[in-house]
Amino acid sequence: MITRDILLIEDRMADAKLIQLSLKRYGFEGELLHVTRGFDGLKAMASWKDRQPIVLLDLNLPGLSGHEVLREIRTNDEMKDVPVFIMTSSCDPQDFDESIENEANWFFTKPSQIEGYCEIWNRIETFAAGK
Amino acid sequence: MSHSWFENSTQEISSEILLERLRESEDRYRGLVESQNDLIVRIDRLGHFTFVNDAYCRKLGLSREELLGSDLQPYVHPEDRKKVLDFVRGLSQPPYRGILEHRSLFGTQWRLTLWEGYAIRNRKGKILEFQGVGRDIEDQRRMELQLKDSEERFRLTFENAPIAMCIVGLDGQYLQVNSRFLRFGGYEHDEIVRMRFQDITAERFCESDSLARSKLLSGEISHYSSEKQYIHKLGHSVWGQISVSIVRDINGDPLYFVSQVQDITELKQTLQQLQSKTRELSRSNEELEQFAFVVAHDLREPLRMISSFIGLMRESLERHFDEESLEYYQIVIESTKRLDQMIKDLLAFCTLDRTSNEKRGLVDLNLSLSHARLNLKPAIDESGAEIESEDLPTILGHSALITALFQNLIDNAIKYRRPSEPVRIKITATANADEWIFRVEDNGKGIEPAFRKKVFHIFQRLNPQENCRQTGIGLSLVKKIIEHSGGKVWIEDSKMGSGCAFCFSYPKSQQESI
Repeated sequence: MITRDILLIEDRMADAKLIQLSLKRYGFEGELLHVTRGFDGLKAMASWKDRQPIVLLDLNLPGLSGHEVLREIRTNDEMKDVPVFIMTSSCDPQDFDESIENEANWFFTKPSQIEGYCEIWNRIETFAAGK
Repeated sequence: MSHSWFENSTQEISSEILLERLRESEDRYRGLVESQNDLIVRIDRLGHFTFVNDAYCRKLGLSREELLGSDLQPYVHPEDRKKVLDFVRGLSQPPYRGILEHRSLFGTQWRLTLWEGYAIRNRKGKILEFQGVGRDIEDQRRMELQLKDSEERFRLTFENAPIAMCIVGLDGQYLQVNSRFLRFGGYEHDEIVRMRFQDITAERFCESDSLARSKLLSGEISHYSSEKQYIHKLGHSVWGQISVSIVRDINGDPLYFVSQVQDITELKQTLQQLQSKTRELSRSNEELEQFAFVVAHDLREPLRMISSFIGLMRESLERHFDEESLEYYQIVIESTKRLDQMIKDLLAFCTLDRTSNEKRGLVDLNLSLSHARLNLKPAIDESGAEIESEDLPTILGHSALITALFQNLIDNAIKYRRPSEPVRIKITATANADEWIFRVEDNGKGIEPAFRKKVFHIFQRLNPQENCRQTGIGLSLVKKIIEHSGGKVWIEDSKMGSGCAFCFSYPKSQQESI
């Protein structure tokens, strides 16, 4: 069970819907905040800094890209320890390499069926428990 | 000779002393005549010898006694006899002297001789006889002819040479140029010989050209060649591949430069066009690849949504689903899976060039094969495929591409297996002198010889679609990977009873043996 709050930075409503739905099915008990722009995500993090959220970050975003948002988080003293998981439809190895280089906690490719998210939440839960 | 020419005396001399002196004088004169190599003869008006010197006797190989009083005629070449006769007759007229060339018989050889003849007259002017002083000029003439011939040959070679040639003075002045050179530079002969090579050399080549020429002058190098840009008379550039050497005199002092100029203007232009086309092509290729990547990515995105939400839709309509709607649902799901696979394969196909341009490394094919098996685990397990391989070599290539190569070939064998028996796949490698031949054979349905080339074309399938993994791209990817590595792919009959064998050659590289 994931109990920590989640900040979802994702511009596609359909994807957000799927994530929301699958989290609910998985038994997510925290609060989910969804923003569609990187800049809004950074703002939300600043206001949520006491809640130790988990960030789910898409790469292909309008305005600030996911890579830029991640770099911003990792270079900001107040946010740099926040766990960030990349959730993308990209299968470009360059995106993977760049994410790991920018110290993303892990990189997930969006599954093509809702059941596929189960494994992702599983991984994130294991991670959160380990903390 | 009736006087002494070295004793200028005015004293009285007795006739006896005078006679004595005359004898002495004659002896000296004879000595002079006999000792020289010039041929001296005298003939009377009938053409009989009245005097022959030793040199002449030696030349003819006859004694003086044999010659004196005999006729000159046999020793003159028959074709020259009239000329000699006319010449001697001419000597009877003022100025009583002349020069003549004719062929004389010396021993058994006719040799060209040059004669200076004059008439000996008495005080009253009566002609007593004719004297000739001659010289054998056969060798000299032959050398002259050879020289002339060689000069003519050089001139012809120079003039008719298929490339532009010029002879350039040490100061750069054009001394001699051939017609090709005139055509190359666009100048007339009279114009170019008033110019120096610096006048028609593109400025940026002047310095390097002068430097090379000074090295030639100092003897540091014996010749040099380079590409050089000239300015044509009409103002445009022409390019020459020049080859310059230096000619020195017998003392080793430099005389002039000889240059050969191959007109490479067209070659240069073609090369420039080719380079610009290559740049264009590589840019367009990059754009295309980028395009393919974006398209593939963006196409998969909505596809993912379709399959996700059709799944959700099915859940929410669960109660209303009957057998028919379930079948429709299955078709939609299978189609999206297939489309997704096609896009993934297309993406692999389109980005192959980018991958192949990366540095190649040593690839252990046994490892590539086990990676391929791992990737295909579900299909292998499901079909119960048996894959047998002998120890495979290590080659130079791209690990990911080689894995994809095996994966597609094995996948192909599994897809087109015969339902009646378990699929068996055998992979072997044999070494030739400079390449490996690999065989991936199966006991499947096989491919008719008529279709064996066609299967490598993109989107070609020989059978009706049976499952979503058949995209018609796999084998064309195989072909592309092999051909990118310099190999060939073909299909033979399988030795396993049925099925076929996909064979491919792969060049060996020296690094492999390290």
